[in-house]
Amino acid sequence: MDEKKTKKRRVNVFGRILAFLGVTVLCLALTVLGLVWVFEKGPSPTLTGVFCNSVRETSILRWMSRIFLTEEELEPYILKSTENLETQQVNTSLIHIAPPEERREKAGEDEAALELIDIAYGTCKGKLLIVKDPSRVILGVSGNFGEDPGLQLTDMVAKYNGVAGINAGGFVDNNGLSNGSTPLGLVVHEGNILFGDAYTRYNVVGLDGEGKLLVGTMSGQEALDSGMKWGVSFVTHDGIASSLIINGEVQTQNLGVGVNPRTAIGQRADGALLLLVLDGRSSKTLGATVENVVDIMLQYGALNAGNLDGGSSSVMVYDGEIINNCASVTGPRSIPTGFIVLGEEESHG
Amino acid sequence: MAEKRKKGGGWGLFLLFWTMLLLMLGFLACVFFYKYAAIYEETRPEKAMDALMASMSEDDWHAALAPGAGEASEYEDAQTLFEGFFDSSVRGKQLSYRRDMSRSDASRTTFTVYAGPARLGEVSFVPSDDKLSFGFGRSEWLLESITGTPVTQNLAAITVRIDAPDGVAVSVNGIPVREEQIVDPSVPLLELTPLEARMEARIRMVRYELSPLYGDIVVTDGEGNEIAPSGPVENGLVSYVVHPTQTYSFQVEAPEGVEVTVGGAVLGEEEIAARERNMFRKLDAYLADDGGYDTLLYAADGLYTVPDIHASYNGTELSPVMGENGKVYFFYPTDEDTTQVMRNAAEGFFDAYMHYASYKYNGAALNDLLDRILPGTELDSYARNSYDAMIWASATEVSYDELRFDNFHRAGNGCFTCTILYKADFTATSWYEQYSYAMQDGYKMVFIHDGTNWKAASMSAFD
Repeated sequence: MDEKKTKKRRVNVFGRILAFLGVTVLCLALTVLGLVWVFEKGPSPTLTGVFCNSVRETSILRWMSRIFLTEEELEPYILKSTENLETQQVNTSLIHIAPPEERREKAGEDEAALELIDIAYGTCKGKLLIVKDPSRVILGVSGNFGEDPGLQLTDMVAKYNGVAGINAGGFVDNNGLSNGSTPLGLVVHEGNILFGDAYTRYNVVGLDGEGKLLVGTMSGQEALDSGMKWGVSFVTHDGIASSLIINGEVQTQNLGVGVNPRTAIGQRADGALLLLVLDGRSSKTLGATVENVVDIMLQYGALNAGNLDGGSSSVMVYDGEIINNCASVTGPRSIPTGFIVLGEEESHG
Repeated sequence: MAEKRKKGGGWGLFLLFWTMLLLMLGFLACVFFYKYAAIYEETRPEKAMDALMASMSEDDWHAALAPGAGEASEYEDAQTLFEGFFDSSVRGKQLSYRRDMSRSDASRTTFTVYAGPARLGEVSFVPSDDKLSFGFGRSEWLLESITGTPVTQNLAAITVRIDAPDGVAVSVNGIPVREEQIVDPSVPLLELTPLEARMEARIRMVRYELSPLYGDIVVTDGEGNEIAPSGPVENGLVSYVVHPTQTYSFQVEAPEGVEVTVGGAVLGEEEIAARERNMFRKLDAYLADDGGYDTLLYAADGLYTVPDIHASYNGTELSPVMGENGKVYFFYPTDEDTTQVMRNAAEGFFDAYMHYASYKYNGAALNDLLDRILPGTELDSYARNSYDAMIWASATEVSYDELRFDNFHRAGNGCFTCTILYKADFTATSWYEQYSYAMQDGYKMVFIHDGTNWKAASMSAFD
């Protein structure tokens, strides 16, 4: 009898705990829903824009922007797609890269060949790696696209005996569950189209044989014709193209207001490449807008710059370690492409 | 049983209370956030910036940005540059702004204002002291300042390169360039004549470089002539060449075999304007086969360098004789075997000539002169034919300041040449007046031995 009572009491206690937790979670969910409602239907269009753009840039939370808003209601807050717009061409004559001897001399005498800077810009935080010799930067690939799984950036940098790297182009994500095997868009590797085709137009970010950064909308063939040796493409889920700065002119049509982790690459007039990774989705920093990325690039003298895959993919490796706060909850993601900084003696140029 | 129900009812009440509490807290959180969102929207610095942008006209922006035009080099005026920039790059253009996050915090927000890619200036806002009217510690933003970007940051810098003759005044936008701006003290001048190109000592061109300049450039030479650029601006560089305003020419007469140099360049066939018998003209009948020599006339013009003329014969430096019109004459150097007899012949001839020329209608003087001239020559005819004209001449007193007989040179068997140079004061007395004048002149002489004496065969003045 006592045993039966004890068992009943246990069931009773367990049920009460479950009921308590269930009610609590339900109330919290309702509260979150309420907060989302304030974001989306509340009195601040600015917050509505930031919230909707931020979640729409992710693969997993994209649906949240439509909980209380229809597509028509969302329209004023979302940038119109720019992926098919023609862009300016990068004027490579504005980039003056010193000859290798002069560059080495300079780098050896009065400045480091690589300069790693901690970025704190407004509420944005991250890392900027300045590579004085652009011929040291190549595009790393994970393996055979679609067959081999992607590589974590640390492994990809090691594969090429690199000293640093950042993630590069977009890839098939499957709501965060993919293995990073298949890129999206175009991949140009050693002057050949490794993924994508010659005729489709892509939003491309790449480097030519001299190490000059090329950004803009172009077909695979046009990319090759422009001398591109290493290149990827990236476009947001809403079709916002990757060009950020071309010939010193900010591509304002591509500046969304969503706040997320960001990766970008830029180039100064003296040829130095700027590899930028900004953190996000943490208590330290929520992330950065694309406009913030542009501001930082301009602050460091970028004449051309392009946006790369951001969010959970944003990662920078330096000296064999990930040096930014990777936003991925499951650890560094496997990716198909990354820009790799080679050692001083191994530049591709 | 009742106690049991009482116990179960207590839990239910607790759960109900807990649920109500959580819902209440959630609701309050949403209300709180809603209110915050409303205030956030109202107190965004961008709202203040939007209001400012809407309220300012182009002229307002002009007035606000002009004081920040900054400074330009001594060759340009920053305000003028600003006016040009504003008219071309701002008027009629859509202005935009971006918040400068690196210079914005809770106590100040700074925006950068753009017209296209041009960065016009910065606008700063500070929060008002009245933090109560909105709540949440937020207040409206008040305009603190509008600061113009130095205009030079929005203009393409160019380097102006000017090649000009050393010492020639050159101005940029009316301001003379200075010696400190010379970057190359020895720049070759193109467009030289072949002779000047060969000259070792020639005009020195210097190169000035002025940088950075931003606006329209007017380069003028020392005489105020505007110089056109050599081409369009290329890679930020525009070049000007100030040509020397003065050119020089020369004429040199020298016997063949004499090496004449100008600025170190030996004159050659290209510079020979004439080859002639000169003072031996019509004397061939009186000369032995090897007598006389040709004289070369060298001439060149269009030189930018003052011609420095020298001549030598078999290593002996020759002294020039300057003609009245700047023509330079060289002669063979005096032979070592020049005899006193030859000198006497020259001196005697010139003495007789001046005696005759000074004493007008004087038959004895003419006869004395004719005795010293080779009969049948042009000089002989000249002297004889002059006699009737001498009636009109004034009796003249001559006193020499200088009288030189130089350049005695044997020109074959029985022939020598020399020069007679003098500086003299003449006082002429006519029937109605007396007047004085000074003269510097000279003659090229040819003497031929007639078997007995040396006789003057040719007498020609320097041009």
